[in-house]
Amino acid sequence: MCKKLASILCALLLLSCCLEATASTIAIFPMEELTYGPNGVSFELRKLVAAELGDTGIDIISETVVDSFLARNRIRMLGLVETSDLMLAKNEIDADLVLYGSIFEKQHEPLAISVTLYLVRTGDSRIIWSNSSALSLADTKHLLGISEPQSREELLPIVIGRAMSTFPKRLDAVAEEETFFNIDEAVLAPKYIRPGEAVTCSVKLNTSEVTISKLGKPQIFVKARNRVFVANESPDKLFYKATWTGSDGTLLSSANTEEARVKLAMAVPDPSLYEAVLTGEKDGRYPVTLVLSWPSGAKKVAFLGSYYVDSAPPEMFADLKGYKLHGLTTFKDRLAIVPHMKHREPLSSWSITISDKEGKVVRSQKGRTNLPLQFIWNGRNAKGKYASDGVYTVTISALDRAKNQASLTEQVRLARTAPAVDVEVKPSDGGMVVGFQNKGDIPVTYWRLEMRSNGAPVKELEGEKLPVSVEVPMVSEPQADQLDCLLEVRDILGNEVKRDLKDFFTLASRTQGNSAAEKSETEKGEPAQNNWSTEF
Amino acid sequence: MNKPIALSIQTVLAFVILFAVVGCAGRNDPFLQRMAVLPKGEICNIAVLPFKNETDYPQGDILACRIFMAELINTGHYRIAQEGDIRRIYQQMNIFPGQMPDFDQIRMLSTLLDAQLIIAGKVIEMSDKKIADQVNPKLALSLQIYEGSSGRSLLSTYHRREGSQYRKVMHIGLINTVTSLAQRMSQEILASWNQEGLQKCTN
Repeated sequence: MCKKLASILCALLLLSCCLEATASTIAIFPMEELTYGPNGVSFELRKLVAAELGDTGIDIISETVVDSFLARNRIRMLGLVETSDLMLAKNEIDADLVLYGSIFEKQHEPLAISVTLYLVRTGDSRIIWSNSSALSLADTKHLLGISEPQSREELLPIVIGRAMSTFPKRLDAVAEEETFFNIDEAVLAPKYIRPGEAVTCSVKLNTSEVTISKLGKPQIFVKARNRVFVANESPDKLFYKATWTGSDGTLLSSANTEEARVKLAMAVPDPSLYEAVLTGEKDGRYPVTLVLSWPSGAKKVAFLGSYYVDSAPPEMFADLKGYKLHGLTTFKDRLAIVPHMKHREPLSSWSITISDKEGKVVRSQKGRTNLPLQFIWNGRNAKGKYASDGVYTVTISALDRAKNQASLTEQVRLARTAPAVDVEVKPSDGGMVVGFQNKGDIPVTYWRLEMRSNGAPVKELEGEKLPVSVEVPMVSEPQADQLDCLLEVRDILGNEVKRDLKDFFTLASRTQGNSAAEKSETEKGEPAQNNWSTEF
Repeated sequence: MNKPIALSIQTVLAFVILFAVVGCAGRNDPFLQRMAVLPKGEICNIAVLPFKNETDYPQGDILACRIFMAELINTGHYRIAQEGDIRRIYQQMNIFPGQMPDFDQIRMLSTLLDAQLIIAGKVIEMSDKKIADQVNPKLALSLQIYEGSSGRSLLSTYHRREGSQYRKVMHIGLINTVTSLAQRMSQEILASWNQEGLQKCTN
């Protein structure tokens, strides 16, 4: 009897030990509410989930402790839990497990609720269980409508019950201490260089004390194409850094000694590495790999990124949208400058300047990244006033990502002056001939002459080119203001002139009279007086 | 055999066949394009990048991504990288939301997350509007698997389904929510990947 009792007691004691050994602590984070947008909060869902866990024998850490942990560590994004947050939960609130998830409710009918839950083991940040469940009121139709949920409050517990139905009854909450050596952060800068410039690679490693005690501290190398560089610990002991240049021959690492080279050749699994250490760098892409080498012979190779060596500046040219006159693009009030690149590539910055013949900058603009599709100059200076007519120089400069500079220069001509027209009047039988001639060098594309006698239209002529001659009939008795002329001339750039020629007849008669006097004088042998005017 | 019993057995069999036929009608398997063979050896570590939402369904990308991740863990027991870690690395590498990482960035993600495979996805269609007193959710997903060490694309999958396609008889089997549809489609996609060689993790 005593023996039986003793054996029962031993069995109970063993059972209690086992139960104690499997008891885990779980922290339930407030759930992410996605109904109204990302990063909402649902405390209600947390309570319902905790109620479902009531019978599982897991110790649930109190909500107050969890909430103050989240606030203290500024964990704001409930659906975006990081490994570091989980390690903090393990260390600060002694959580073996963390349960988090999200809820989404459909806003329009019929009501539908979906829940997704994740259970994470904090020891190794592994998600050991997850489930999602969704139900709508249309899913819960029963025969004769018995026990159908009618509202959100009735539907939500059903959804959570279904989501938690596969929750594991037996949990492996304590993870074995694994050896790991993770790369927390790797920065390679700058990514684009010219030959001769330096690249620095900084690597922050994350490891456990167990790993260091088991494997020791590794040697760390950075391999860039066929060159290898030793990475040294930074003074603050947070990073390992290696710096090298992208040029021929120069090696900044400590691998210049024979001993270091031999070590490198042995450490890095590339038998040709030893000979390739001192090769130069040509333009191209250089992948960078981190190599961790332990005394035991263990190795870890990890890709960190690439950098590019670029010695060629971008090739650019520009289209100028205007009229080509005498070898220069000429415009009146709008010049479109369209830059092009021979081989498209991203740029880091650009600038455009417009300067006059003395070199004084009239307009300028700068920008970052790529060139705009086109520039428009409206012929005004930086103060908004029209620049004076003349020849200007347009210069576009650009820097590519490796800071190689390219520039192009073009000359343009601004012409806003109205066309100047010469008017010549010559007598003819029964009248006179009026000639119009373009004094400037910009071609005329349109002219129009309207003659009126006492307000009534007499003659209307138009054409496209100058010079032109027009016959004007003469009346016997010249009278003042009898014949008016309106002259309109427009050049190829759109510059216009309109002249109101009053007293035209009187002038013409005077001209004719002068001509007759000129003739009689000529007959008399005296020189003729030129009185006809080209000005109005 | 007694005639009534034989008749009832035949009737039951006919209904079973009818259920099977109706259930199978209108099904489309995921469209799969294989670019390369999956890496040899056991695959346990996977990173699922944030999905891109090409619809106007609010939070459609987050819903589809989380449901897919849940199914990935349930079916394959994979070690999935934490979403928060992925977002942090996105910020470090200046990858904007909705932007697909480039070749080098995929390799770096694999390094930093210690992931053998990288899965990226897009939600192309997502809707659950009520039409004539009934909701027929629709969902179309496009997923790609990349090899972490090389960055090369291995598999590309396109899958589109509607809730009514799962109807068996009357309203039996009908899927009424887009999230349930996402769950079912994720299971189908993973089954097709399983056939292509993506085995469960035994670790």
